[in-house]
This record gives sequence, C-alpha cells and structure tokens, in this order.
Amino acid sequence: MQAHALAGLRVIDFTWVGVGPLLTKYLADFGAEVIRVESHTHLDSFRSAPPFVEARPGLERSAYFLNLNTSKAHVTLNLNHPGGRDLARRLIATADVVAENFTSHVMEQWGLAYEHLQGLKPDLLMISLSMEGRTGPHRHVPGFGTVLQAASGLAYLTGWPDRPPAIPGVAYTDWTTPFFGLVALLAALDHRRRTGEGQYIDVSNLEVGVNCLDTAILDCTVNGRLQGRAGNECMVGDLPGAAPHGVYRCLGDNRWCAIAVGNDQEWRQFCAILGHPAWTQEARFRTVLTRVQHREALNALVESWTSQYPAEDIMTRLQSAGIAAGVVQNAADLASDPQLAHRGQSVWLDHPEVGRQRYDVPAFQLSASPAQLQPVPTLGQDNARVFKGLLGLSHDEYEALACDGVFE
Amino acid sequence: MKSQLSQALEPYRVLDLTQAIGWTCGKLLADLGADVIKIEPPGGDTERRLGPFYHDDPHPERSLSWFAAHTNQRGITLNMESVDGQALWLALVCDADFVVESCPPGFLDRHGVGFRALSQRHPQLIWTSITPFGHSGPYAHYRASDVVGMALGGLMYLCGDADRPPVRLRPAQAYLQAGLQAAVATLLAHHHRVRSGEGQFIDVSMQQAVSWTIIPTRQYWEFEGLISERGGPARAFGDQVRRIIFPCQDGHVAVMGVMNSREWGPMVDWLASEAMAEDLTEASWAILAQYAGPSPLTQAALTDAELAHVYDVLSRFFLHHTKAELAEEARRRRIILFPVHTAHDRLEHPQLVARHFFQALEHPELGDTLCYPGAPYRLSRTPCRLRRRAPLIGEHNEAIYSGELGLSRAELAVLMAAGAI
Repeated sequence: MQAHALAGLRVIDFTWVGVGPLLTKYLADFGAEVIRVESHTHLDSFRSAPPFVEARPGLERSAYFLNLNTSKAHVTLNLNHPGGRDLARRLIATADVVAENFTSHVMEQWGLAYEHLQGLKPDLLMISLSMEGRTGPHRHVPGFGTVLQAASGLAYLTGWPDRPPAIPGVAYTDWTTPFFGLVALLAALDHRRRTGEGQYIDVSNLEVGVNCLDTAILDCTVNGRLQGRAGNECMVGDLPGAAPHGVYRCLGDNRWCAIAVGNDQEWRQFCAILGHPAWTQEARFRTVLTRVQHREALNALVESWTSQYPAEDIMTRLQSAGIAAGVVQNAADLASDPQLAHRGQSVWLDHPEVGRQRYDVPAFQLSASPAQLQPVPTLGQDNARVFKGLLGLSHDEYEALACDGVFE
Repeated sequence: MKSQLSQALEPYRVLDLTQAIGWTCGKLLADLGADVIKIEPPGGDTERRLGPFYHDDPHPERSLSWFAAHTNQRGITLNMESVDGQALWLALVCDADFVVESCPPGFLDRHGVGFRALSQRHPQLIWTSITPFGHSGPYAHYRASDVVGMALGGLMYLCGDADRPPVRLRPAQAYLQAGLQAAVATLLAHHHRVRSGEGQFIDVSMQQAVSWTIIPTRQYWEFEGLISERGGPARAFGDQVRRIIFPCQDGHVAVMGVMNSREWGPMVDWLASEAMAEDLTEASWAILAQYAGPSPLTQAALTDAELAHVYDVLSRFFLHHTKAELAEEARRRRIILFPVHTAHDRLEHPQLVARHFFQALEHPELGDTLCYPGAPYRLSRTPCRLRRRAPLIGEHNEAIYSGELGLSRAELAVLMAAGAI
C-alpha cells in the first residue's frame, strides 16, 4: 500500500450535485477521510440523474453520482431535526474541513454557517462553492453551470463570428470550479498547519469563468477591444497568429482533425507530408503573413487533402513530422483512446448494488502518493461506525435517535 | 493584524520553467503568495511574442497574455543548454520547494538537470511536469497546442454548430485545465512532503485534464451507448437536445427554458404578464411542470415541432427586452437566466464590482495602471492580492544571482556575454 497524500485529514462533506462532490472526491481519492452527510428527506439530485447502470433508475445507480463519490464514507442526518444538527456539530468539532455547495441561506438556517462553526473548532477550514459567491447583491441567485457559463463570457467568445454564441455540451465551469476550489483549500490547509489559523473560503463559479478569460479582460480594459467569436483561429489581436490552424474534415461521417502549423519549419514539414501538391508552392502561401491573409483559401485546400483520409491517419502522419495534430475525439473514441488507457484513466471497483464498475482516476500521476480509489459508499452505510465509534454514542442513545428520525 | 496580511503560500519558492501549457499552475501558486520565479531563456520567452499587446504595440514587454499569466511572479533569464546555465540551475534548485516545467518528456534528464539527477541530491523536491499527453505511452512524444489538446481530450467535439466543424472554447481552455490540475497535484504532493519529508515527481497530461471536463458525455457512452453531439446554442442531455442561448434585443441570454420543471410555471406567468405567452398557458403544456423527482430537470418528452414552438414563443418575448432587463426580472421571479456577457458587461457587473473582483495593478514602465481580473475565491485570512505586475525580461537577475547566489556584477557580465543568462 502506497502513502496517502492527505492521510489524517477529516472532511465533513455537505456538498451535493456535481461541483462539491467532485472537489471532495479528489480529497478522498488522495486519502482524506471524507464523510458525506446526506438526508433521506433531501437526497442529492444527482442520485436521480441519468444515465443509470444497466439503464435501471435507483438511488445507488446513477453513473454521475457513483463516479463523483469514490473513496468517501457516508452518513445520513436529518438536518431539519435538532438532533441531526447537534450530531452534525459534534462531527464538525472533530474535523479539519467542512465543504458545502448549497444555495446561500441553507447552511445558515441550520446554524452551520462558518460564523456558527468557528466557536466549535477555532482552526476549522470551511469551503463554500456557489454560483456567484457568498457576498454581494447576487449572493442568493440560484443557477446551473450550463446557463451560468454564458454569464462568465466564455460563450460570447466561443463559436463563429456570424453565428450565435456556442456552449459546450457540458456545464464547463462546473467541471473547472472544483479544481480552483481545491487549490485554495490545499493552500489554506498549509497556512493552518504553519499558523494554527483556520479560515473561510468562498469560491464563485462566475468568477472562475471570468478568471478563465484574463486576456479578453485586459484587451478590453487596456485596448478597448471587445474580443468576439473567431471559430478555431488563434487570435493575437485583430489577426490570427498562424495558419493553417483549425479543425479539418476527414474521411467518414462527422470525423475531424485539429491541426496547428506554427512556424516556417512546420509549414515546410507540412507540405512535405502532403507530398508537395502544386498549391503549396503558390506565392500566397509562402510566408506566414500571406498564409494568414489567405487563410480561407488555404483551409479549403488543406481540407481537400484531409477529407481523403481517416482522421487517425492524418494525426499519425502529421505527428510523425512533428506537427501538432489530433483527432477531434467523441465519447466513443475516448473510451478506446490508447494513451488514456496507458495512463490508467480509470479503475474497476465493486459496489453492493451495481457490482463491478469503472471509475475515473484524477488526471495526474503522483509518484510517491498516488490516488488510491476506494468503493463508493451506500446511503448511510457508515452511520453506526461514525456515530457510535467516532462520536461515542452508546447503543441506546443511537437507537433512540434513530427512532426519533435523526438519521432520516 | 499581522495574520491578515499573510499569504497562504508565502514561505515557498517555485521555479517555473513552463510555457503556455503550464502557465496557470504558476499563476495560481503566485497569486496565493508563493515566490514564483519564472525562468526564461536569455532574451525572453518566445511566448512574450503572443498578442494582444498593450496599446496594440507588438513588443515582448507588452504582451497582455504574458501580463495576465505572470502576475505576482519574479523573473530571471537562464540558458538551460549551456554549462554555466546548468550550474546556476543546480544552485537555484537548492533553495526551491517546487519545480514546475513543461519541457518535452526526457529533455531535462538528457541534459542531466531533470528530476532524475536532482531528486538524488534533494529528496524533498517536488517536481511537476506538465506535458500534452504525459511522460509515457503511445502519444508521449506527440506535439500539441491548445486546439489539439482540446480535440483529443474530447471537449471540442461537444462545441459548435452542427453544420460546421467542431469549435474550440476560447481562450485556451485546454492549457488552462492542464495548469489547473497541475496546481492541485503540486499542493497534494506538498501535503505528503510535510508529513513524510519525501518529494516526488508529478506527471500531468493536458489530454487527461481536458477529458475530466466532459465526464458526463463519456458516461452516456459507457452506460447508454450514446454519443453526445454539438448543438451550437443548444446542449445535449443524453439523447435530448435543449436550446440554452436565445437572442434578445441587444445580444443573447442563456436560460434553462424547458429544462427546469420548477421554472415552467413562473416563466409562463412572466410571458402572460406581458400578454406574450400565446398558447403556452394551455393545459397541454403543463406537462413541462410535472416532473416530480428530486431533480428539477424536466424529463418530459416533446416532439421537435413542440420544442420549436416553445422556442419561438420564448424568442419573441426575449427579443422585446434587453439582456439587463431580462436578467433583473428573472432574478426577481427566481428564474435561472443569465445574460451572455461581453468583457465590457462584466466590468460593470454589480456582483463582480461589489466583490472587488477586478484589481488595479501598476506598470511603472508603461506609466499606467491596468485593470486585471482577480482570483476566483475569497480566503478570509489570507486573501489573494495582486502585489506585482509580470516580470520584465531578466528583471530579477541581479536580485537572485547576486543577492542570493553571491555572484559579482563582473561575473554576471561574463555569464551574460556567454549567453548563459
């Protein structure tokens, strides 16, 4: 058994849906003791999100839910019950970190906001992930990442100049915010180790989106330029910095290859791979400046070559000459991608309800303290261990609370 | 009061050799207080040539992409391929807590200045390597720019209009994902070092980082054999495609529309209040509000013609209003709708303004103060601050080489003449 990067760290995890559970998944996969707290009266809505294992809906069967909850422990507590809130506070008093991503008033109404918890554990770290942050006039605004990413400005910049803004087929900021949150949390944990000081971390999904655009902001504040949509060009001001640069149709239905030709040397290599057809010798494609000026004609000619071959062949041939090229992979391509398979992008784990399934492994490899995924817990599976073992409830106390609906 | 001024990563030094694929890592660490020293080849990094430029003046000291990615960092020049440069590098690593680099796999080891050699002498060293595909495997030596990482990572396939090629998310999000995951990895390794005294090597793949952003679509393939397709202003949820972006009077808005069962009633009430609901008030449409599960996402099956009709009615309504009017009224009615903001809109965004998200930073050589986006998180005790603008080429050569390594000015002149710094 190899070392765990976060051994000894206890996280009480009130998160739900996507953003919060992804953050705590990384903590758990690297060895933190993450105890998820959920209530039968208010289940994580990802539990009812398709797709389901074997296409059979069920509370323990959502593929989204399963993938984001590896390596955690799980308890159920009804936080609308005073007894539930009391146990939550006792749990937090033993912990290092509290994580949550409810809408703004929820933790407050339970008396579980940071200002309530500081007294329980002065060096507590608490992290909240929300749409627009926990302060300011929009702190109560609800949202979904799918829609919010438009507000950040990513959508305005993405797509074709003559078409409406485009959004990706995922809630992009939802898959980005957790990693920003992790960076802040891991840094704050180090500060606490050195100084004994806890703190509150307030992560805004909107600000993550705007942070992803920094050059667009500076270009506006400094040059007054309103950057717009530019397809697949690599803009360096009013013009792209290289050509050919983009996505080209290949043989087959909806098959494409991304190609980026940078400098003169790459252009010469590119022409050689194509076998120096006559058009590559034309004066208008001789220099980068003329290639950029005539990029539409150039792209059409490049596509007349790429469209004769499978995208995989285009990639392999160009890469053999040191030119950046890659198949525009769909979900099926990714499932059989030899490089991702080589990196061990997933592991198989058992689960009492869905059996042996595949789970995604964090995107990087640590040589000395790698991710070590453990199975996904079932609802409330750790109740007895946590409430009796960790908090020291007697059997009678535990049963009385259970009868009272505290663990609902 | 003292603690109010401290920064979370203040005690640590990072040597940053990355090119654009890894910039986000150093930026995040520097903005959290680490002493990040950017190491550029003599004469400056080639990526300083990337525009847009300050006042559109193409000059290596005026690249806005460089400015944005290197806030709070210091900078020195060093030729890693010269013997003198390598000797300086070995000395610099003695005082470093982290090395972050994006050289091709094996490049630094071949010169004897990579993790293999240095971890022997400095077993506590954490070395983060950010490459397009990782250090081993069939694509390890493939080259990739941002678009290629986005393509092979699967994000690009999901973006763009159905009748045109897939399109990239802009600006460079594949690079961003690589650097972001690298920063997480670097700090995880640091926590292991704190307890065990042991450093390590971190292998970050841009492709794998990008593939994390599209996990839902990978799972639809795995469990339902369904390939999600790009929909331009619409988004696929499994086999259902739902329009998200609609034109309005002065641009576009993004709205959950028919996807959120809880919002259907309030949305129809809103349209009706302006006599623009047309037939959507009829009972047959109430099915859109009737999904009873814990998830608000409506599972109601509509025909393409029915969907198109709903979109038409919504579009006619939105076109009557500006994005600001729509956003304000939607907030009042607790309907999830956001404007498609331009950069300029965001500068005046009341929430970003109230949270002091944008920060001013002085550039004395330009005689100007520029407005930057801040960090996307508030740390109550160790707030992120913009302390210094991006370094000029070799700006801290004297501070580091003379001040710390003890070289004289005469010796620096020799190293400069020899092309080592």
